[in-house]
Amino acid sequence: MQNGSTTYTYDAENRLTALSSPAWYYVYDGDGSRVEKCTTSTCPSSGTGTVYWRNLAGDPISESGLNGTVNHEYIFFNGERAARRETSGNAVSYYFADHLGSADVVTNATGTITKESDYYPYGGEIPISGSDINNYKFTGKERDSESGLDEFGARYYASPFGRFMTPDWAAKPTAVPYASFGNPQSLNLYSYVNNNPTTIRDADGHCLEDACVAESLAVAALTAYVASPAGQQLLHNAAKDIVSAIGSLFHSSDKSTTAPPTQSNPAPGTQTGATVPATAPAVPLPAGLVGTQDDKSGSQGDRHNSGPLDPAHGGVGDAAQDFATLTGGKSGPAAAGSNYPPGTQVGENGTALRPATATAGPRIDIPANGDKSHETLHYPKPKPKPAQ
Amino acid sequence: MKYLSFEWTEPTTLAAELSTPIKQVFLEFGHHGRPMFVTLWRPNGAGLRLHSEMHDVAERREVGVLSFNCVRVPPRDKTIVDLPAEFDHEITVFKLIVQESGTSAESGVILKAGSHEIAVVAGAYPYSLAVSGALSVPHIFEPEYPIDRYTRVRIE
Repeated sequence: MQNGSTTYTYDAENRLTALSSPAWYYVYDGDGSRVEKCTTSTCPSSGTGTVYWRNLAGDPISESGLNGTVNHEYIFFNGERAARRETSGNAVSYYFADHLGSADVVTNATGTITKESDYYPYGGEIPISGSDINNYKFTGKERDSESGLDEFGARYYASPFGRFMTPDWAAKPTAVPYASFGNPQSLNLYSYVNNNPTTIRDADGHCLEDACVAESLAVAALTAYVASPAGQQLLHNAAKDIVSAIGSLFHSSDKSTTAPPTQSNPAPGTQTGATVPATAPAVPLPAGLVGTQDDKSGSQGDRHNSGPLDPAHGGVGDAAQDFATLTGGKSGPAAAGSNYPPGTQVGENGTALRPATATAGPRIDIPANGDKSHETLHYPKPKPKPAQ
Repeated sequence: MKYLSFEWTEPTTLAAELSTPIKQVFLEFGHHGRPMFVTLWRPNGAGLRLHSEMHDVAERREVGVLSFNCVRVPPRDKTIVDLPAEFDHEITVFKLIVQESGTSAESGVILKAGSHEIAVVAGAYPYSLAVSGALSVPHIFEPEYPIDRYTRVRIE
């Protein structure tokens, strides 16, 4: 296949094996993972190039030259690339990715941004500042500088076109691989994530419909969460936690808890460690007030006091049932040692149900979400049961 | 007028405890990502732990009041904030008082050392805290009321 002056050569399994101009050659293992790329067809005996050393998940954890000398090492957390170490000089760089896994920011060990980029929806890079040797860009996949293609595993992706270079394929012969006949977009075997590039990412070069849908929902929920104050706090602490944790991996003798001195406002303090749970809420927080609004309702400072959950939002007048509605039933007792009143239940999305007291009925506290303020739903005090 | 004071049951004075030098602040976060506890940690390996307790002051109106207790063991899951050296010396302390529905409530403290200030105030989300100065990140400082609604009173 030719593109202007460049010829792309594929093997019988439709894997890119050579590029004519500039000349590059690609070698794969029996599972189809790229293990090497180099500048001569006789590599590894001559030329220059890269050998990839992967973990069991297929992530390249080391890159060496053709002679086997390791040049870069990568640290992955939960499948995401978090840091890179140069074996020459031991310089460490940290990766900060967006919700798709694209490497938006790369910093050095002190937290100074060395490279910042944004990406167009289909992966074109928008350099903002700095420079770095990082070649793992859009959704964290390697972008080959010689071709501009992204190596997604099963296939190569051309971000200028927003299309894969080759049609999707399945190990088991089928008429239209990974197609969902209810979704015509999936019939285009060259398309990228069914043309939903801002919410879905392709994990391996195949777009499995179910996986795409599931991934889409998860990403949407995560996107909503990171936009919330709780999410912002989570990201802030998670970033600090990653820097701290990885720093300890690379500098195990350095037990200092002082964070990078280059944060925007280092005084009066720096921070390490985190306790914010690292999971997105199972049930998204409401985007608007959900409690009944009456003459006793209103804002109190930065909190809004409402009546019970509005029937329009599923309220049935019972605090426990309404709490289950707001949390999707995913809740548990407040942690031991918490300062909540005894009997408080806390949902995975941070919503809390406080039991009735001697003077007031139960309350449901809903955390703020975007522009929506915190909201407390006040329920009437239960009437005492008549004596039997 | 009803008055809700800081909750403090130790034999020493709270003013003395708050003005003692500190070297770190520990923050413990809730599920919602807001601080639930703040511990002022001292060079001598002891600390003063703060949290907010809610008090009903009128129908559908409650206000947070700070509660304090001394601790000798640092919390297990925490975010650590290293403080500048100015906090190694005696600290000037102010309490923040807010009026709500005919009640005055001691809802926050400000620790001042040199040019630095740390404010810990009952948070807008019930039982949470709002912290400024020690953590300068977006969204972290969510006091129950706009900060200019609080009256600042020096305690010594």
